[in-house]
Formats: sequence, C-alpha cells, structure tokens
Amino acid sequence: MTSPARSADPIAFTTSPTTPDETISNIIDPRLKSQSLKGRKNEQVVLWKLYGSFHRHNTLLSMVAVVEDLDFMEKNDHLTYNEKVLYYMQLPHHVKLHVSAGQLGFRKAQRAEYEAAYQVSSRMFKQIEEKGLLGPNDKVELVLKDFGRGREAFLAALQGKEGSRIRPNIVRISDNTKLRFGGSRPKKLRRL
Amino acid sequence: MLRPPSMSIIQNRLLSTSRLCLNNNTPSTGDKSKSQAIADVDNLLNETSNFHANSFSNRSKDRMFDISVKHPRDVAKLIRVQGPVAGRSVDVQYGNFARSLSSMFSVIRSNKIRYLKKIQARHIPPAKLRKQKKREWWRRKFSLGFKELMAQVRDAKRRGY
Repeated sequence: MTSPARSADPIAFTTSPTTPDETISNIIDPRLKSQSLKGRKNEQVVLWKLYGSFHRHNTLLSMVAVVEDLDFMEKNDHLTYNEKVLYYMQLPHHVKLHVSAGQLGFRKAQRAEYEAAYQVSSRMFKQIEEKGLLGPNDKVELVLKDFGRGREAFLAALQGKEGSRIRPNIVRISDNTKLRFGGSRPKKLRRL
Repeated sequence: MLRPPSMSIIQNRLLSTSRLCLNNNTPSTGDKSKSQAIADVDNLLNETSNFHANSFSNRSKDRMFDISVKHPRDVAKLIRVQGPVAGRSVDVQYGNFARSLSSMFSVIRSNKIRYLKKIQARHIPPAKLRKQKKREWWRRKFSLGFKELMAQVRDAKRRGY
C-alpha cells in the first residue's frame, strides 16, 4: 500500500500525515511499541461509576474508573469501523475500590443489616477522599441494584455528612435492578 | 446513476418539438419550422450540458464520502443505552441531588420495579397469583374509596356539620 492511496482512503483516520518511510501498514509502529513497553499509556479517565449492589444478604460497593485510550485510533488501525465504535460504546472499566460488609468484620447475618451498609458506604466515601480519586470537575454516576436494606443506608449516608464531598460530583443516578421475563422457575415459597 | 432522468428530459422535449413539426406540415412553413426545431435541439443540448456541469463537476467523490463518515466516538454516543438501565436513569440537574433522587424514586414506583422484584423472587402457582392480583386490586380500590370518604367527612366537619 502506498502512502497517497492511504491518505486518500477516508476510513483510515490517520491524524498525522504518513511519511514515505512508514508506509507498511501491517507492521506496528516501533515508537508506539516502545511506548507500550515502557508502560506510558496515554489514558484519560472519562468518568467514574459507583456501583452499588444491595441484595438480601450483603452490601457491595465498587468505585470504577471508565478509561479512554487517547491513542486508540492510531494503535488499532487494523480494526474495522464497527469494532472501533464498539470500543467507544463500552470503554474499559477499571475497578479502583471495592468495599463490602464482610471486609469490615461483619459476619453472617450481620452483613445484611442497615448498620453494616451504613458503615460500608461511609468507608467507601472516606477512601475516595483519602486516595484523592476525584478531582473537582470529575463526574460520578451512581448505578444501584436491588432493594435490600443497604440501599436506604447508602442513600442516607450519601445525603448526610459522610457523602458531602462526593455528592456534588454526581451527575447521574440509575437503577440496574434486573427483572425476569419468563425464564426458569424460581424457588418455591418459603414456609416458616 | 443520475443519467436516466436527464435523458428522459431530452427525449420528452425532442418529442414535443417533433410533434410541433408534424402539426405545422404546410409546405410554406415547412423549412422555417425545420430550422426552428434544429435550433431548439441545439438549445436543449446546451441546457443539459449546463445541468450536468452544475450538479456534478464541483463535487468530488471523496468530499461526499468525508461528510458521511463520522468518528466512531460520535457514533457510539448516539447509540441507545440497552439493558435494565435503559429508561431508569436520571440526570442530576443544577447540582440538585435530592430532587433527582426523588424523580428516580418516582420512576421506580411508576414502573413497579420493587414490587416485580419482590414477587419474582419466589414461585407463585398460577391460581394463587390470580387470586393475589384480585386481592391486591380490591384492597387498592377499597383504600382509595375509604380515603375519599374520610376526606368528605373531614370536609363536612370543617363546615360545622
């Protein structure tokens, strides 16, 4: 493939004009390779997500960074257009923090209690602050799942003193509770 | 691709001119109409060549293609959210967290998400489910009617009855 043909091709998305000595397309650019080996990644945190799962037995919170590789288009020239769209649709999520009631010493049925969930939430907010994860303009999305007792505790902690630092950064709240449409038969009713 | 319409235009106009020639078939005006028809055809050809020049010459193929291809990021932004989150997200506006939370609650209530989650957790036999639904409907209706009655009583009491 010659360089004028590549530059004329509109799907190629070459940001910098290619010089004649780097025309071979199926060989990775040595500069990029050395960059990746050194571990210098040109990444940017697009937004943060705070996932909360509040089921019957436990409360789980995880702080996730949604990361975009700024050199993605240059590094992945071989990918098809649709594959590139899929990358931007579901950007890589990196878990930075995870707290659950069991980590704080709550055992067995105690994990399901309101108090445990409150402590889990306050621990999470404290760690976010301590590690300095959030900048002043960073965006946080809340994704909540299921309706255990921990959900009320989490929202109470977030609206109280503990969550005062993280609250202004929240840009969206969503509910991720899964509902069934048909499917297998659930367990039989418990008789106590 | 765009050639057939222009060709048909020429054909129509040629037909109309030939019809004119046929109508004026008296010997005295024959030569005149013939020369006129030839002039018309020349004019028409000139017109069509102009038409071609205006529609195609100043638009290259690449430019048209550039407009239609978007950056994958922009395309990904336009794709709808799927899964359970779709339709259950609320944006926080003007930093008013409490308000967006309450609108989130109202979304959950209106879609009966909590109720559905609860009744889907355990299997209910179809006959029992039918009876349960009837019971719930009756209780809802009764409580509404009772509230209305109490409101009437309170209103009457306020008026001094």
